[in-house]
Amino acid sequence: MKKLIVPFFITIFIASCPHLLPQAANGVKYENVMAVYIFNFTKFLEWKNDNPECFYIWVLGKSKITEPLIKIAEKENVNGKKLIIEEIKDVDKVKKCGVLFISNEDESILPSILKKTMEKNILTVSNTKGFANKGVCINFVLSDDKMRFEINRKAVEESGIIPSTRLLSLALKVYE
Amino acid sequence: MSTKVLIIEDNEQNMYMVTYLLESNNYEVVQAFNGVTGIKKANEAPPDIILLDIQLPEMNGYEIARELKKKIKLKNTPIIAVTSYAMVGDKEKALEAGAVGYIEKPIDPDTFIAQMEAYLPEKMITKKE
Amino acid sequence: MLIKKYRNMSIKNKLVMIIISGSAFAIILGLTIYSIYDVINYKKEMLNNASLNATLVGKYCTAALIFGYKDEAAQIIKEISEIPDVLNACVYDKDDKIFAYYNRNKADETTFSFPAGKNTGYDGKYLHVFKEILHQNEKAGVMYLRVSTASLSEKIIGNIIIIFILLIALSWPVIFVASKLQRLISEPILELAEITTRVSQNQDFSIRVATDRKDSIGVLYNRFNEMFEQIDKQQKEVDRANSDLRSLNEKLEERVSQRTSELEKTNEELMRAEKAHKESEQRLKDILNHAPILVYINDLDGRYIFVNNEFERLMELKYEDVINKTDKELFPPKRAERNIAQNKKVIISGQAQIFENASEKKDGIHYFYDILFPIADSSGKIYATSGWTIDITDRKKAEDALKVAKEQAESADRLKSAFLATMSHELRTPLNSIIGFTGILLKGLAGHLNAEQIKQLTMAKGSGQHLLALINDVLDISKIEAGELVVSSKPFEFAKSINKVISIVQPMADKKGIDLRLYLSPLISTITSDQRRIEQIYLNLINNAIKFTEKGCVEINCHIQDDKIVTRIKDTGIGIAEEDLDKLFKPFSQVDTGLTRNHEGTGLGLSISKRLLEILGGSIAVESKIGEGSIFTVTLPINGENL
Repeated sequence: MKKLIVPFFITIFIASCPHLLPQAANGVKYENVMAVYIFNFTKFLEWKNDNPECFYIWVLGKSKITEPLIKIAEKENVNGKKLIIEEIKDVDKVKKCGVLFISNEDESILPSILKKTMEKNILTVSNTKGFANKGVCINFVLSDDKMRFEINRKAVEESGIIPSTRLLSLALKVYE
Repeated sequence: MSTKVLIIEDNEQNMYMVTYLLESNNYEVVQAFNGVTGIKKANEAPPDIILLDIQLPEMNGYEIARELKKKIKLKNTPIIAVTSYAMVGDKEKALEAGAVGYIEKPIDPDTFIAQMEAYLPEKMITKKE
Repeated sequence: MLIKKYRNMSIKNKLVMIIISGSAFAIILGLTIYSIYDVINYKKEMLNNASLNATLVGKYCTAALIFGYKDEAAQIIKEISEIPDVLNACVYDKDDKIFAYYNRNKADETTFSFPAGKNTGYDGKYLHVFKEILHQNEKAGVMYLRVSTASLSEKIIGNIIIIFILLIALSWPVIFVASKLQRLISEPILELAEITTRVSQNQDFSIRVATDRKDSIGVLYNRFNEMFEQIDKQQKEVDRANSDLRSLNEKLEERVSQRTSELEKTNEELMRAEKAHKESEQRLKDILNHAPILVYINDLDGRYIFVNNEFERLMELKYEDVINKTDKELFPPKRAERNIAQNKKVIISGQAQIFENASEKKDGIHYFYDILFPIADSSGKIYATSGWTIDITDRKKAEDALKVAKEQAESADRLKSAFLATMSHELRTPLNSIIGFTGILLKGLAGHLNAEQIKQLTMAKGSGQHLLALINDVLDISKIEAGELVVSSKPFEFAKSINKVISIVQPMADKKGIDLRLYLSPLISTITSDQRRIEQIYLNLINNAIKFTEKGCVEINCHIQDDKIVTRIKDTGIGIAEEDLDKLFKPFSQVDTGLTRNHEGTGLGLSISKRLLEILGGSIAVESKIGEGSIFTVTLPINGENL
């Protein structure tokens, strides 16, 4: 009985602090979380046409997410492939199969980006409200101080990526 | 040489008669009136034939015959037993004792010579006149 | 107590009980095993199910885990409420920290804490399932389920209850079937029991049980049958033996009574015998006492135990003085020794002995026979000697006289033989001279003879010959009468003898002008007999035939009949008168002894011939009629070996 007390309280503590783990601090920490999440996405997505050498995560535009991504890429790999993070200015720079993080919040450039990414089987991820509806594959949203995301299933599939139902079920909203 | 006949007989008349008969038939006769003399005379001058009277007073006629037969000189001399046939068996006894034959008494003058000659070989039978 | 009760239960109940027990046991065992199996399976299944669920649910939580969406995870886990028996579920993150959880029972919120251990398994009331949640081969977290084993318990209990229910439910049919089936066994046994009871009550072992079963019961039946048969047989034998015994007993009693009566009879007989014995002894004594001979009995020591009156008289001793005394005490030593020796001999030899003794008496020497013999008892053991002394003096005298007479007779006989022998020699010797010299003279050997000399000499010679013939005949007849005549038995030619005889008589026949005819059967050859005597006989007969025939012929016919030679001499002479026929063969009876004796002859010829023929085993017979001649038939055995 004694043995159980400590873990019990820990459990209670942890349980009553659901935000604690994934979000250590606000602001900068969002990017960390997003980076982690992006990495995690790769676990739940399957690119139809795979790039055998390495897995790219491009960051379009300058973003704070690059750094945590690079940190992750140092430790992890995707499906055994080396994870390479590149910041790019031009979307043409993307190669086949990867993830593109669109840090821009400008929605006008979205269709041209998307057109290119879809050709190149790129998973588009954004952090701007409404982007999922606009054709970005996955869009981060904050909900109750928790980092959530929306998935545009159609966009994902048209990008030649198969989403896991798990992921879909986790999404806050799924756009068809 | 005439055939010699030895007669051993004790009765004088008989001896005379037989001698007369024999000499009449050209036989030479030697006389012996008892067995002992007979044997002696026979041994000295073996006769061609011996006539032996079986019924001799002193010696048994058969014994005399046996004694005569023992003499080597007389081995082949025929001994004729003269028996009076008083007893049956005389004949057999005579033959047993060594006699070759017998002549019965009383002597039949008609047949006597012939009877004796029956026991002589041919050459010894004398010729009669 | 129970065992006793069990023992006394009926077969039927026992069998039923056995069957039921067996069935129950089988059922319980079977069901138990099955239910255990079932439970184990169930547990496994439960585990599998729970594992599966854990896996599944865990999988569902994977994204939430990775993305850290606790609420989502909690939501997902809540679905677990659909899974029955799962009481609690918990998702641990990859660091094994509780991520999200679910408690079915509100009470657990406060009472239950999720374990940190990682072992999947049962711990009595609960099943704990830990399942690693993997995503892309990386541990994303751990799924934990706590499953209630209540259903398991329920199941177990349910099984047990089922078993019991089944047990109870099935027992009725089982009992029913058992009680029906047990009959297969119990019936024959009961039947057997009943039969044996019947058999034993009635002592009737002829009962047999019928069966054609081949199993042990059948064997039992057969054995029982055999046993009954055996018993029956034995019973019969026993009965037989008993009846034998009874009859034996009866016989025995019969025999006993028989024996008793026999014994009584024997007793009577014994007494009678005793009396008779006494009487016979007395009789014996009386007889012995009246015997004219000495009778005495000695025991083995030589003591006189009985002497008769004659003994007393002759020995001049009194009975009382003799009894129990020995010979030595009674008689002079020489006599006593003799007696003792005689007794001893008898005892040793065990046989009767006769001794000839003599003793001096007043009237001279008397001779005695001492006849001694042993007396033995019924077992053959000699216990006494007895003797008779018989005076044989008279007899001896008579014997001596007889001996003398015999000697005299013998010497007379010898004399007669010597006489005959001498006579034949002495009588014949002078005749020798007569016949011989007259013969010589007649032969002319001593000189010429004139007619008268010849005539007279002839007459003298004839007389001499006649005398010789007489002498011969007389000697023959004497010998025959004296039994001194001995004939020889040698084989010779019969024909030769007959012809010899005929040649002798031929001159006489020719002189008389009588025809002499001889017919000899060619079958006749050798005859075994006395040749001389046969020639004598035939000479006599044929001579007679010629003598008594004046004219005519004499026929001699010889033939064989059986084993004899039969000769028929037939003449045509004067014949013989019937009344003279029987004295024909008697000596000295020449028939016609009248003054007109014109026939020579001794008169002995025929009697000699007849006697000779008898001696030779033959016979002679005559047939004649006066004036017609005679026929003499002579029969001679061909084989006269045993003369």
